[in-house]
Amino acid sequence: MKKRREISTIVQLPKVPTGIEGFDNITLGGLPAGRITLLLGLAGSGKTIFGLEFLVRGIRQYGEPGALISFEETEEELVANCSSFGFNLQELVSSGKMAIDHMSVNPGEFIEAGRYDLDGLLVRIEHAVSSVGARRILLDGVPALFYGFADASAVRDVLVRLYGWLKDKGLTAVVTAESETEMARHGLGRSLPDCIVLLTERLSDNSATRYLRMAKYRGSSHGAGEFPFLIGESGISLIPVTSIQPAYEVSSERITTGIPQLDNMLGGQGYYQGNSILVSGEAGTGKTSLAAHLALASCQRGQRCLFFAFEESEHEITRNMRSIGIDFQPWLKEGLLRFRSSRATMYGLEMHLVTMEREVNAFQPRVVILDPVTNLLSAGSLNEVQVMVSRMIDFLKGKAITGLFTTLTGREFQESPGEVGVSSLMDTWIVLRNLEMNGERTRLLYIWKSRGMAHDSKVREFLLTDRGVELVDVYAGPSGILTGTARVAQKEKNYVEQVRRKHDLERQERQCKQRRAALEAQIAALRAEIEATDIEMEQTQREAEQYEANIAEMSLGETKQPGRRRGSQKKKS
Amino acid sequence: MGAKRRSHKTWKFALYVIGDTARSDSAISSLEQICNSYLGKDYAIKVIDLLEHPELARQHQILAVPTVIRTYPLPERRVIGDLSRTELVVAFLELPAQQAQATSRPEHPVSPE
Repeated sequence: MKKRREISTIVQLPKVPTGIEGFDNITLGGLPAGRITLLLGLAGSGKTIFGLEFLVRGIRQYGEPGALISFEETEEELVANCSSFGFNLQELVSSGKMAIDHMSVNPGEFIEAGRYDLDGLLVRIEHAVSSVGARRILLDGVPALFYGFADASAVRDVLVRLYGWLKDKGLTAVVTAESETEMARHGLGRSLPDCIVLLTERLSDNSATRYLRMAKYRGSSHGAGEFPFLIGESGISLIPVTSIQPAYEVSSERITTGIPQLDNMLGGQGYYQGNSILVSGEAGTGKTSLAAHLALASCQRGQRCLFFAFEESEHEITRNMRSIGIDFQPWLKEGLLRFRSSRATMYGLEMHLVTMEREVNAFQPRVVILDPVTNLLSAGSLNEVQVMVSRMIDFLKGKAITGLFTTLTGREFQESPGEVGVSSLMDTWIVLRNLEMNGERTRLLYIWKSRGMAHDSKVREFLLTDRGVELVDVYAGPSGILTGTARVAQKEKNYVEQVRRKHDLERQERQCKQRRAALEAQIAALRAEIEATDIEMEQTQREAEQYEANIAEMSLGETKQPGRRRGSQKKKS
Repeated sequence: MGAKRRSHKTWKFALYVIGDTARSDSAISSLEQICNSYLGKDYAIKVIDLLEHPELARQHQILAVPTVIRTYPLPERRVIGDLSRTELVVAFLELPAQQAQATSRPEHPVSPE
């Protein structure tokens, strides 16, 4: 499903676009031109609508007049049924673009008394075709002929001639019938039409989903498998995953996630406008909170946001978000925010999609949130939800609306169907995880991918505070990443160690200083001692001189004073 | 278009055919013979070739040819086929029985196809 089919290089037969949304994509161009397509489906499978759309769009979009030959519904019934799809058949008839002929086949109205043929049918079809110059023709409910006329060989005969005539005329024809066996029973099996389209409707969990399958397409490659389709207000639409053609206006405008740290992780600027974002995570990992931030940021920019909630009611969400400091009330009042809560099981997927498209068209938001899409699994199978989500992505991208989809994953998120297999279609994928460690649960956030921007792939711890979501760097240590209390404890431990080391160093420094001071004191003391010694020495010398002088005085007498002075001077020098 | 007219109580039939085929001819002659047998001269047959008036096929809901429509007396009655099964034609078109005695079980040889 995820792989885009390669378009075959084989020379394809000329094709006629139906104009039916998605159908021309899977058939690589539409129905075989100038050939017969058998459209099979039970009552209510949408085959008449398909055929009518083929005719009406042929006239409106491709300028090809059409003939509508109905064996079941009368012209009045057809006109009434079509008006609900905005197809005004009467207008097309009166403008000479469409011919309608209802072939009344009611066996109660006549008796058969002898051999006959049904050339009247040919005359009427020929007349209808030539009156408007039809290039397309719908033969709706052909097998009714077999129930109306007892001579099956006459019916077979006229149909074979009719098909031959249609081919000769180069008309592109759609013939409807309930089943292939019905056609085969009358000798009009597989070999006759060039293309067989099968419409089915299946009930699962009380909700019906319609499917289209290309059972045969002679000389052409075509999308295989079943494609769910919707009958909406403007007719049939099927946009399968395989045929998504990214032809949208790509925006380089960036919008904030509402969480500055997350903006930083996304190249510093947040999401791209018009991108699709997947937020996957287990229960209670904060998916809705992340979505709420985007909603709030959108409103704060003055851009409308539409929030589809499949799990909680508007009141539950607004109350819960208030606890993390997000107040939606003013924005709801101002009309910038709108909630649409619905139980997934309320109706089938196609109805969900139609409803959502209608709401989006009515509200014209710039941001759309689907929370959580996995809840829709209760309304359809995984494959159906995948198709629906990709259809929704396609729809939003076409309108350059940013879409945020949350998915609930199981504990082992890799194996779970939680991503609904749509992650490859998403531009940005944010994964939220629970982490249990040391008897404590913490939340983690990381960006799995984000197209077109340099993004931070580091794991962050995701905190829900009363001021909203905060992202914190986690501690990466030798034993893995640490979060929560462990992270805090580690941080504390580190701090204490730092402080202790600082103290140690300071103490050492102090000790050194003290030692140095002590040494300096010692030096000072020694100096003082030296000084004292010097002084002592001088005194001693002086005393010694005095002593010598005294001795000399005593020996020369009192008159020889100068001589004594001289002598002492002599000694000193 | 053969037409025989009577002023009142005239039975009227419209016979739709496509082209001048053997089956068309046999249907016309069968109807005429049946009418002669059961209605005397009190009937009118209008033969319509749908090749000339294709729009009438839609208008009168004709698919099978030949188709005979009893347009009078009402209600309308329809018989399709070459009318070779006379007894069915007589019964379904509710032709009056009294004239039937004149011709004992009318068998109308028609040219085989």
